[in-house]
Amino acid sequence: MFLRYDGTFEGFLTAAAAALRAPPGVCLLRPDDPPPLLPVEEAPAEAGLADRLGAYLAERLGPEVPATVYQAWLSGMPGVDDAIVGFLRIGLARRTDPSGLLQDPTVRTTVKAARRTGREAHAYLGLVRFRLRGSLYFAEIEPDTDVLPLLGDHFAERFHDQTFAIHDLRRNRAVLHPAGGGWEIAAVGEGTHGEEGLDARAGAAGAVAPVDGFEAMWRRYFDAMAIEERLNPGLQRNHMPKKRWRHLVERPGAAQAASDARRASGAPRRP
Amino acid sequence: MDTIEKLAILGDAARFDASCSSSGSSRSASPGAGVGSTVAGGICHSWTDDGRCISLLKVLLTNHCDYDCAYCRNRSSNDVPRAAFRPEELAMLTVEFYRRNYIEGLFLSSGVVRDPDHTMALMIETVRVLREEHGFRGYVHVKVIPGCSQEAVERIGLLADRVSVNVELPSGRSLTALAPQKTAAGIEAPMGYVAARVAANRDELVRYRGAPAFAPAGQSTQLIVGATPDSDAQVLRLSKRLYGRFALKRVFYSAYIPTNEHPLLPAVSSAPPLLREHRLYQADWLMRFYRFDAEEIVEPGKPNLDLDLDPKTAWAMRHLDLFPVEVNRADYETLLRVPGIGVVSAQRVLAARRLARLRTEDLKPLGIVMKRARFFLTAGGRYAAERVPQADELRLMLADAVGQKGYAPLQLRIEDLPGAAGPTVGAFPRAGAFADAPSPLAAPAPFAAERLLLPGA
Repeated sequence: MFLRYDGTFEGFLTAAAAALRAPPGVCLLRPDDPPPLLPVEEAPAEAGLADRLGAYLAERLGPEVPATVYQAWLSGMPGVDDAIVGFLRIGLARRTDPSGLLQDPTVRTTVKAARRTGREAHAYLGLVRFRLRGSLYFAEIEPDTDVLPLLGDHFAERFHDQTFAIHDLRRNRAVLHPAGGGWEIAAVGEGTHGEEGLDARAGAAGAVAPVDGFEAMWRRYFDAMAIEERLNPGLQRNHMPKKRWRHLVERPGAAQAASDARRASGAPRRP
Repeated sequence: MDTIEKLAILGDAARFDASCSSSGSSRSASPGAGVGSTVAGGICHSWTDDGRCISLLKVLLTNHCDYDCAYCRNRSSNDVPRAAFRPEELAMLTVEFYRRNYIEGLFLSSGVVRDPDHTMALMIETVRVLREEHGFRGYVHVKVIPGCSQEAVERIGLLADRVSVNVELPSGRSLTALAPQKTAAGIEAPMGYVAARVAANRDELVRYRGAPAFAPAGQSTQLIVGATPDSDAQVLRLSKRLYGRFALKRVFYSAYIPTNEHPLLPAVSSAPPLLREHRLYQADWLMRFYRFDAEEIVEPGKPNLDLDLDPKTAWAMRHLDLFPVEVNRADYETLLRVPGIGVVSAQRVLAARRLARLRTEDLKPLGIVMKRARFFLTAGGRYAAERVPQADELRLMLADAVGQKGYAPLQLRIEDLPGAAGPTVGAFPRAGAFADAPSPLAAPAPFAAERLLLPGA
């Protein structure tokens, strides 16, 4: 049996609850999944279910289960929805947090997916780069998993007096935070062109961006910190894969390139 | 001089300090005042081309220095460009970088101008402006200048999250020879003061929550390795003492990069001992997270760590009589001693085996590195590798991969392969039993009472 939900977390939980009540073998579909050959039923999202089910799972299976389920779902990895249902089925049968049972493929998929989202969200706590546009601090990211909901609290707390926006270019959604206010996630729709639209919606005065001198200072500092005798681009990319470089202000790889050029021209190492 | 020029000079001058961490302090933002927060686990913001992380804005307040330490680029007799930040200039720069999410905070060190207390006063003023005038609640790590007064340490401890005094050279003799203006007492006094103050502060905070925090993220230090003839055994014994006596959070090891010609130092053309630094960090982790003692890590009678094997594998190779261990039964401490099992995978083993008995094929998904661990484990009585290797062969298989920087690995020779030199004798004393069949020793013997219930068995 196939069960399609609306693509929201509440919708997923409604569908997952239905799948858990039915015998094993129910497959969940997101709206953008291609339709299977067999008939599909629709699972309408049930308002308020997320909170109720979250509390139930926390009490019944352990305090970490709701977060594991939520982060695994945010990963959007293929097959993760069905894996989460299997994960919960095992947990409910054993009345315990099944996260330790990594021998089981559904548990493994769920726990891995949750870790992937969690790790990426943590990485973005450091990798988000705000560029100052008028009075708006504006950042663009392209994460593999849907990390925005996990970033809001951290940045809203730390920069509570700043008006900022973090735009997920892949999902076309953004965290918006007016200075001194709360944060929300909003779709960046047609017609609201990138920054200008966000400017207005985040409540900042849209201004022509002057050149931000601190960006040049940061680049200069970044280049100065590399130690030529220790250059290690593999280690750098382990921590910060190249796909993450695009939206940084600094330019990783510049010191390595300069050293390669010096070596090619036969010049000695920097004194 | 422009701020950007100063930043390039004073960042360049500070980059040899190995410490970068922004961990150990957890402070939420204060609504309506100031900017910033700290996160207990720390956050890395970028990685330079040498692969080291940038978490804090690591700069010197000034690289003007009255001292003439032989190993240091910024020593007074070197002709390098010099610069100095004004306290408010550096505080403003820190806040602007912070608001753009480039950094977690400030890591401030300095050359010694006039005397230690004068230098400390300038650093204290910088952090005071940052905290009080900018309302900065992010992370601040300050290097204490050896030989400064107790009052200066007290003031900076109340402003910073972490304070540290660099030991730099692993023995008093090396210090006297290479850093004549520094003394061991001048380093140990502020360290001892910080240790006592942090401990007292913990008690204060228990009694009354509003007590001002003193260096809530504790203290750390740095040792330079490879500048002096001090051995790994000496370095690790010193680290053990520092962790024990001064309750340090971290000891950082920094491979010496020769910058000055000096009769007592390696030549400027020699490469930094990066692999040795790596081995010392591995050994340090064994002491802090794997419950190893410093004395166990270095092979008795040898001053230095084995460069071919990581120190845990080297320890296991000296204690083959303790292996293989049964993964379903071994306690946490024993699991931690198995090469290829780390703190996380050991904890996963404990969690997983509560729910089901582990088989050899279950081990990899738990995050155990089977490349190494298979030679040291049985699961349900079954040896995890295909066969038991000889000790020599095992050593070759466990040696680190080819291609590590500045390091020629062991070569595998034909005569080292099994079967090439006579009959195979397993690495383990009781190894013959594991060669093809599950071991009768490691498999739990059938319970005696059950046997009584099986007639004729």
